Amino acid sequence: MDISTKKEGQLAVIELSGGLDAKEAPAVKKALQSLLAEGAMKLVVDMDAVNFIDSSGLAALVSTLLAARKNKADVALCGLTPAVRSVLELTRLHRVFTVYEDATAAIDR
Amino acid sequence: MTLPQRFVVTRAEATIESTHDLAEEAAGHLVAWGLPPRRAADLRLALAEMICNVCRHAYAGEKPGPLRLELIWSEDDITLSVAHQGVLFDPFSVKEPPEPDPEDPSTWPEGGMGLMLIRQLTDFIEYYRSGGWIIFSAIVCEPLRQTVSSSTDGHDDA
Repeated sequence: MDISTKKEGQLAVIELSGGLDAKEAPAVKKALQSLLAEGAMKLVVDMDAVNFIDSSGLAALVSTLLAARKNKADVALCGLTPAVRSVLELTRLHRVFTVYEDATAAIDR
Repeated sequence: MTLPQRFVVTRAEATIESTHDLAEEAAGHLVAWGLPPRRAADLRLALAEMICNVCRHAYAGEKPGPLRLELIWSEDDITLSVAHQGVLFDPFSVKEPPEPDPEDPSTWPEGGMGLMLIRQLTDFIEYYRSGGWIIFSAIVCEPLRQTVSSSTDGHDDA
């Protein structure tokens, strides 16, 4: 999985590409939580190029959301592919995350 | 058309790193046998979760042990089987996480979603011992509807 991050003030955008699975989830969780630890108050997770997610990938996102809440920070997901959206809906987590169509919409929120 | 269609990996190593390749290879066979790609993707996810469960629970705290994978598409159903020789763990004893409440972070699950996904993506799960292996099996009702040319065996099928 490729992970790239952009920061501007308290906004951080992380772009993920590939499969967010049990093998990749620890690195993604570490990257996300590092951004929060560095003071990001708006964290946008761009999943436009994520073609697969499993329960470990979901757990990494939920852990990040919980950590953000403790810091009073926001996490938004955007660019969900049908595969990712389907798994979020199966686990009912689409009700928990704020989801935007794309990164522009998430950043402008 | 030859029934059943069958794909077997007789001996792999149960590691998180091997999960992706095994599940993807299995899904490739399902598509080749005529299963729609979206449905094959669902079963790839179920199989990946089953393999992860074996890695994390059957061989928890140990060196990775042997794993056998079998995929059979008979006339009316698809059976996904993951066999191991590790510790017996009972997937039926695992409680599903609660329905996440957007207003209550204590209900947001950081674990336990793997078995929930397996249950949701398949119709029936079994857990039993056979021939020195402990077998975690999931069955999906899926009639074989397209003509396929031949059965396919895994890369190190016996």
